[in-house]
Amino acid sequence: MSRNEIRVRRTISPGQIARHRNYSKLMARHSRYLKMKRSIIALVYVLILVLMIMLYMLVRKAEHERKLHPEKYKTTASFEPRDANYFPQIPIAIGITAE
Amino acid sequence: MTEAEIQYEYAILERSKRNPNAFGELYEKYFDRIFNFIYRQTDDEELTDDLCSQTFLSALKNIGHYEFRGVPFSAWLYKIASNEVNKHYRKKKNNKVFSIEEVRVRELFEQANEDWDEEILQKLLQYFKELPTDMLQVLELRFFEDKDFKEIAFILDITESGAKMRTYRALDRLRKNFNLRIKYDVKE
Repeated sequence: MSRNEIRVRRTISPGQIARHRNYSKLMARHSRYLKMKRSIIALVYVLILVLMIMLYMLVRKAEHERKLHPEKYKTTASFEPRDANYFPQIPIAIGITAE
Repeated sequence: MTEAEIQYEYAILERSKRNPNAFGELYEKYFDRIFNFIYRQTDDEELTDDLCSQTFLSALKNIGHYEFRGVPFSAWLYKIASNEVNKHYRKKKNNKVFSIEEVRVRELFEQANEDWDEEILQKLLQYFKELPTDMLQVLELRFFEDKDFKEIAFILDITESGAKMRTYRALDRLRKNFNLRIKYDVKE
């Protein structure tokens, strides 16, 4: 069953329609929309800028910390094998071993 | 609509992209038609006022994206209006209303005065009520708005052959049910 409701009515007169025609109201709504759009764009730019400044400051702070306490941030560990046989010989193919 | 008229409207649109005040001419030209189109689908003056205003506002907002696609600018406005009406019904979850002017129904069936009684009208209303929404939309655009199939296809986002098929199917059903002469093709 269809969900449409069908009604019969009289033709609406041009005078009745003219009551609803208001271009200045439309333009006012449009300029409000443009203002809001510009504000949102400005806000997004400001947020991006703030975020970038915060990131820059964090990086600067981390670099400063590293300079003050270099031992705390030492990450490279020297690797010395305990004996020559540390690396086991790997069979390259069946029955053949590396020299 | 002639090629010159389409070009003239396109020039206004190009101006409107730079200066929204230029859009006023198109607003004045199409307001009545869009208002009637929406009113037919709402039967509520205040709601139609809101949706109509929203339609023109959306048109103004998106005028920068408008591209000429072989149909008059009005088809774009009808498409926006149709989307606004659908959006309203989706939000409210109400039954869709189609309010038809009795005069236009008579015109559609070429029954100006004679052999037209209340009984036939009620039967027709029942018939329209049982039609699926997509067929009703096509009939509305074709016979009450005098749109050609290309424009109907653009407005409803369907193919041209799809629009023709829907119209002819609805009219065939109408012919079978009623012994009325239908104004089959307003224009081709």
